[in-house]
Amino acid sequence: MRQWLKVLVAGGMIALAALGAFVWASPPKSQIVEYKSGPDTVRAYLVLPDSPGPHPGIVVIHEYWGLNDWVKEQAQKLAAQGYVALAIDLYRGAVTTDPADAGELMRTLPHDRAVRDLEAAYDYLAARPEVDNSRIGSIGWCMGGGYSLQLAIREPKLTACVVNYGAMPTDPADIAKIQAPILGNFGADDRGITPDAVHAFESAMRTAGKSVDLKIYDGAGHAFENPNNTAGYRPEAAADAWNRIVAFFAKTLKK
Amino acid sequence: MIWLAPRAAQVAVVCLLCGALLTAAAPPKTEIVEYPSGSETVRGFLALPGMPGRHAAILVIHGDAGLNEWVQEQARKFAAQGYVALAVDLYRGRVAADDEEAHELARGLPDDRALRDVEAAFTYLAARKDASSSRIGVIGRQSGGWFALQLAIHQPKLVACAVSDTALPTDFGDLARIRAQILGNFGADQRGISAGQIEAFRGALRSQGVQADVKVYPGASGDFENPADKNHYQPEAAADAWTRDLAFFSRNLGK
Repeated sequence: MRQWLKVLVAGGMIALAALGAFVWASPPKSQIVEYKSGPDTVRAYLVLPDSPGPHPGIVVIHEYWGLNDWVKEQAQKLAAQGYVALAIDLYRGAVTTDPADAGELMRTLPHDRAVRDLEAAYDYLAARPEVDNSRIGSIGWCMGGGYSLQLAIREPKLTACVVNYGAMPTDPADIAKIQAPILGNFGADDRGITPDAVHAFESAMRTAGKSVDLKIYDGAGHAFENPNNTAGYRPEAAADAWNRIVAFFAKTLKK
Repeated sequence: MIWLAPRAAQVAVVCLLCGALLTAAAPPKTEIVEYPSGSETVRGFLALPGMPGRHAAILVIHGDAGLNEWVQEQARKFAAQGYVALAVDLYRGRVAADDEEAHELARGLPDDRALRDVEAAFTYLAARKDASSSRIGVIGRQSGGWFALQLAIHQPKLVACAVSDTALPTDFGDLARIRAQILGNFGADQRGISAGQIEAFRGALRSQGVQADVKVYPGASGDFENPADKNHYQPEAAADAWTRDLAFFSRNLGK
């Protein structure tokens, strides 16, 4: 009887352990990683797909709030699609929900350091064994959207670049350096990035013979993809933008 | 009758004083000027001293909110001190009505265009007959501070550069190109910028033989100089910072 009980308990534990392993393995695996950026050591939030690689990689760049849960969630969603997603932290640990704080953080961020961090993130992803370094893209929202384009200007091997309501370059010499196809999602009511600015960038890209697909959503303003932006969130436009992002990365990074 | 004489004397003295004030500090003349920036024509707010001559000149670069009344007032105050002051308009006519719009405008501003505009403003000032091209300084706050420092990196003829509430460049190659004297005023409670960052900036410049005079105000955060920012304005620190700005330009531009 006792022997039978032991067997039952042991069997149960094995079953539980197996179930546990199954449950743990299901969501993408996330971890905080460290690497060098110039003289600094920086941290980022890395999410790996559940399947063995090598996978395409994506550099994920946060809004002016900092590396918050919403941005981490976007990295998780991209990992669930089969990408190694690296959400960088340009603010080095600072994150806020207060607009005045976010304004301060953005305007005190040295642009040169941010660009260094972007290039370091690309190099880090490219060196990871799970990543196919010929297929690395970038995506950013708000302030991070502008930096996503800066990475495209500086890294000729970048294979895909998504900008969501971020500032766009105007200098033809910079635009000439862009090799990655560009996908962009913008709100028609964005007061900082007007439809005119979007059209000017689109036209400059086409003149330079670059691949560009920009969409402007009517009735949407800045940050319309983020549900935490309670007044400005546009669920339908956000869903459409996400579908465009998924299709674009599939076409450019999974081919 | 006895009281009339002193009264007449009083009136005479008052009239003389008024006359003296009018001659010494005739109100600055202001006008909107146009000049080329790349392939575009941009506008700036120009304030001229009330007296003839070839004057030292100051470029004024607005913060996140744009070329608003406060920034124009600073240009007028510089002109009243004897400088030709040109306040640039990086947003091309847009002025923020609130913080949210200020952040949208700041996030949407293309870096490359802003730098082109600032360099074009320098060229415009240097070519003016009433400005001395060898005595030009710049002052910038918030996002404008970054572009003031970028001008110091890109324009070796710039003589003096004053900034506050802004990011500081970190790239040694860039910092090595700075020839202008630097003044900085920062709030100790500024989010996003640390004492370590200020020291690194100061140290890098010192090693190039450039002295950066940076003052940190305890109990002040970003935007402490702005009377319109009810949450952050600190009248005493703001008055001290302004006195430092005036003394710095007077010292370096040989007014």
